[in-house]
Amino acid sequence: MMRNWLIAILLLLSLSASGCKAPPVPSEVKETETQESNLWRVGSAFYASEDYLKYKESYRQAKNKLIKEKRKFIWFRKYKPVRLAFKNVLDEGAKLSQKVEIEKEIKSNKIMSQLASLKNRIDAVKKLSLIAKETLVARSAIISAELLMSEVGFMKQEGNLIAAEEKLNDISPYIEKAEETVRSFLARYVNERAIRTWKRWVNETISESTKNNIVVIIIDKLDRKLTVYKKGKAVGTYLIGLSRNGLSDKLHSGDFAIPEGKYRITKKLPSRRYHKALLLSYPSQEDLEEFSSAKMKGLVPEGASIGDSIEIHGGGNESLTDGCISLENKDINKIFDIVDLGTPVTIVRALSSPAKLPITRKGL
Amino acid sequence: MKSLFRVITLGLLITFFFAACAKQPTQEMDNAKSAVETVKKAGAEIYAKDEFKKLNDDLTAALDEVTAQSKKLFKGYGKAKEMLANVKTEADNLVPTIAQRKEEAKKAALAAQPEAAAAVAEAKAYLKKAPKGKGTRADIEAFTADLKALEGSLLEVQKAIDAEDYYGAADKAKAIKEKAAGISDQIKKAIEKVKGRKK
Repeated sequence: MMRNWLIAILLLLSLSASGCKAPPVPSEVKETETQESNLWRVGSAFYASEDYLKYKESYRQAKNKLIKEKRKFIWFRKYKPVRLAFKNVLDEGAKLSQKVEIEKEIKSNKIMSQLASLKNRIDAVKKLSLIAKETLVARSAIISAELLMSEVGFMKQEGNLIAAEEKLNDISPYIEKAEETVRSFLARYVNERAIRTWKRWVNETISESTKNNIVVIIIDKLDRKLTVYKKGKAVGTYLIGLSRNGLSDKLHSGDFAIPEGKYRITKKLPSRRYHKALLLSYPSQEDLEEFSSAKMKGLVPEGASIGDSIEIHGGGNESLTDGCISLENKDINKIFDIVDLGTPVTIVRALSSPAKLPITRKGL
Repeated sequence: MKSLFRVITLGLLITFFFAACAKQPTQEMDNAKSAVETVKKAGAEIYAKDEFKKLNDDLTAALDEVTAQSKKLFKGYGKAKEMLANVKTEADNLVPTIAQRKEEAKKAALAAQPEAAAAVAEAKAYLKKAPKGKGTRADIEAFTADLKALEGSLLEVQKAIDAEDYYGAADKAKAIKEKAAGISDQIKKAIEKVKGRKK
């Protein structure tokens, strides 16, 4: 009896000496838990979904190892392989974290670039909406697009790149709507037959530049560009501002249209209200004939004259004129110095159909 | 000695019987899952993302513990029950937090809404004072159209509020306010420019 009790006591003593406490769970387990939370928080599931799934799988396997080990009786638990498994997960997580940061940077840059591209489209369609006098449907669509762009900006600032990217997709339809509206308006002003005539005028003017070794100016209203040619070669192109009816051919005073035809510089005015100015030989003989014909048909308001004082002047290419062509002051300065009295100036409505305008090409 | 062995054997049998036949804490599991679902429905994914993630992780860990115990010969669901109870408690505690954050977001959206409307109204008032003449006529037309469109967008803010998309509503209102302020600034500059010329 006594011997049995002694054996039992010895057994208990040896147990306590060998340690009844379970070995501690490796610190890597807690670290991985924190890492996983952080990886989730930074959006790994979105920015590197495949890698994140692999990581989660490795994490799951490591956890299973831990559970399996925990299931064992405390004397038989060995955490070395568990520690190793969690260490591997931590390494995988560190690589994933780096990848997420890179992906976020790429996405952020992509959003920035898309926003810039959309802004360019908006700016282009905005200007053309003014020229086309389309301020209702197009402007409303433009405002919707601009507001969405601001919202995308806020989301990006908050680091919510996924939502920002999703919202970006909502913008294009509004811009396309504005572009389509403007394009259909512009199409009313331009037809292929007229384009052929305008191209002929331009070719004749450039030939004159080559033949006579002189400077000539070509103005394309739809493209909003003034190009200077010297000896038949383009030497400078400048963005221009037009009048509110700039795409129409001038018929009479007060119509806010810009004449189309072949003109010459008749006066160089170094100090005008809008910086420097070049007065054009409007009205030409063709303009006078057109005016008389229109008057006979009753197309000219009573008391209206044919108008005059059509200039190329400074003041900025953003302003809307009454019928002149405006340039940035620095640009008129350059042109002013190289032209002479008699320099040919050919003004055309367009040299290509509105369908070929950049604003109408989707995806720009 | 014989009686001692009998007692030990009986004790082992009783322990084995209770441990092996211990039932899974299904009631606790259901309660915890239901609590997490309630939190989700309350808007946890929007207003308490981090807490919701932790809650889900804790629930998964608790369920893992249940699974682990179920595979053991001597099952002990005490720890799992404790974990599940914690999940439920944390989920229950999160509900008022979400409600509070949602209310704050609502307040922010409701505050941003009149600010946007005021900015549009201010821009419209400036537009009335805008200098009219060469170079501004078309701009005035364009701004009028823009402000009309902005007024229309104010309705979108209300729609977002009605749909309880408070963050979206606040962003929309902020965007409208900024756009309207931009228009006001442009008109103000034009007014100043004209004033400068008159001097």
